[in-house]
Amino acid sequence: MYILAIETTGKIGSVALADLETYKMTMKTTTEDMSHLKNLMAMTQELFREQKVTGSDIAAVAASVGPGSFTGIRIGVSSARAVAQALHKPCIQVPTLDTFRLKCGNRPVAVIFNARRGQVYGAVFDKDKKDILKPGPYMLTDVLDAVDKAGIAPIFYGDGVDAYADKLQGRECAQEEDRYQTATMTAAFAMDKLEAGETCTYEELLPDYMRETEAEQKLRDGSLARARAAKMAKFRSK
Amino acid sequence: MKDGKFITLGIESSCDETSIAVVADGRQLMSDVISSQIALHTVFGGVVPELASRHHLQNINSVLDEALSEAGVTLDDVDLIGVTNGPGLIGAVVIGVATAKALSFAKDIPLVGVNHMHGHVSANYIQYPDLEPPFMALIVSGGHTNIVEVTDYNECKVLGGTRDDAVGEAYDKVARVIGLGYPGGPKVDKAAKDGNPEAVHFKRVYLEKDSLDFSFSGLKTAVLNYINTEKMAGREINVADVSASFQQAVLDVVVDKTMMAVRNMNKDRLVIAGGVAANSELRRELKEACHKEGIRLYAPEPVLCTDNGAMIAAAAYYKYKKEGADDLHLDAYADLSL
Repeated sequence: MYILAIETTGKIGSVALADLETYKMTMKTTTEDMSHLKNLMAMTQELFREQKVTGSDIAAVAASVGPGSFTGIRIGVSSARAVAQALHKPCIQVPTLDTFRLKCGNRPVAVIFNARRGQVYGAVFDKDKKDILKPGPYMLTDVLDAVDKAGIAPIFYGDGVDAYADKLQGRECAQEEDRYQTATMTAAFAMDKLEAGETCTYEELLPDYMRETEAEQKLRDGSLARARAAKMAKFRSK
Repeated sequence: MKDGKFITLGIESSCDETSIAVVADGRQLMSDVISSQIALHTVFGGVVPELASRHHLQNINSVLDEALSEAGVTLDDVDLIGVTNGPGLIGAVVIGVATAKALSFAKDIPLVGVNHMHGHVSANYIQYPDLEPPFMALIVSGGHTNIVEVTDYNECKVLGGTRDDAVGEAYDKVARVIGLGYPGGPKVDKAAKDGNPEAVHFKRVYLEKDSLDFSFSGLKTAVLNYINTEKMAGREINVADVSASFQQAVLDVVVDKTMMAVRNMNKDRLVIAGGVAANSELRRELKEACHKEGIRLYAPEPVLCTDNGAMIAAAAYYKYKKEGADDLHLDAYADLSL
């Protein structure tokens, strides 16, 4: 049996099959940036054909649920939900930042996903995979402070490494080929969860955006109402 | 197949409705489940795309379950999956397309991407089992205003369109300023029933002579100006009168141009489609105008005018018969021309 794992939270999308007997993994990756919708299912079909796997060989469908690109997350999660629904299989929810715990070993790990304007989705793990800064939405400076306060020198991962290169000078960043989330990382994390019996139904497989929508924020802090009033006032003064 | 009939699943998620339908032989409605997000967006005064996308994802799989069970079929009976792949709010369209593609892959069911606007026209094939192209059509919705000649299934020639706001957009904007809120179309339509359409005169914008194009942004501004003037003068706004007068200014132009197009093209059948085709006054006036000129009017039930999966299934069925299936590289588009 296999786990089908889907990763579409970053710029590059990928899909993997993890053989639950041999632990062998196979993966396909898009060559176009942000082309998840177009390529994900076609890649999955190719992978199944190459590995001679059919729907009945699947034990569970795993998806990397975020944080990351909102639309990207939804493409992966919607696809996983529908595959699981059609094949009557369970799902496995994989939190994307946590998949980088697998990178821990000799060195602590800091993960930063670019959320623009100095913000990141980030986490810091010590070399035993334990939280130094738990996964969440932060300012980049919060992550760097946590690292410095702990007095560690982690390796930095994620697309925040590219976006904030100027603010990471003097810190060690992962090589490009090892820097980003991949479906094999999703699959590896999912294998542990499957062994622990932590599956869910397709209805329960949901994104973890880590941020509410801008409209909801504005509604809550009153700026939506203020913006509307200003618009009307501007019109009246014409 | 089910009982010898070709089963099409239609998936629609291009705006604020998550809808999936099961249609037999391209025309017979077996189920049409619509999960509306209107309540969710009302507080924001309009559709919030990111919020719509989030809710499509949460709802779509249970909408599918419901559509299948209401129709008494399973995915094993489904012969074709049709899905709106544009135009629409891109983040919202993506959910339907991702779901459709995943179902197509997992169950090895042929897949067809459908233009949402052709879907609206195709709602008529469900309502009227004998209707076949060619015919004239008026497509009016929150995003589109088009007079077209439908030459074949999923094919048409655009004869006129809006140069700025769509009809539905004008309704939404006017509804907001007169305090009726979202969604504007049905609210203005309802308020107008108690109003006098001649109470306030708003200019009818016909553009160049013989043009089948529309412009509604000036009308919207005229309504805003009127309201401001009245407020400045300390006079109470009569919402019913303003609604009726605005609506009349829109419909005079829409009906005149549509009938002109039907005459010019020498057609004897007119189809209306899209969310605004549910407007009761538009239906009444077109019915009257068509009756006078001996033209048969096709106006689907309001539930088939709003966004729904059934119209997508009907369009997909005919597209598949003519062109075959799309492959798994099917993508979604915010803009997709007619």
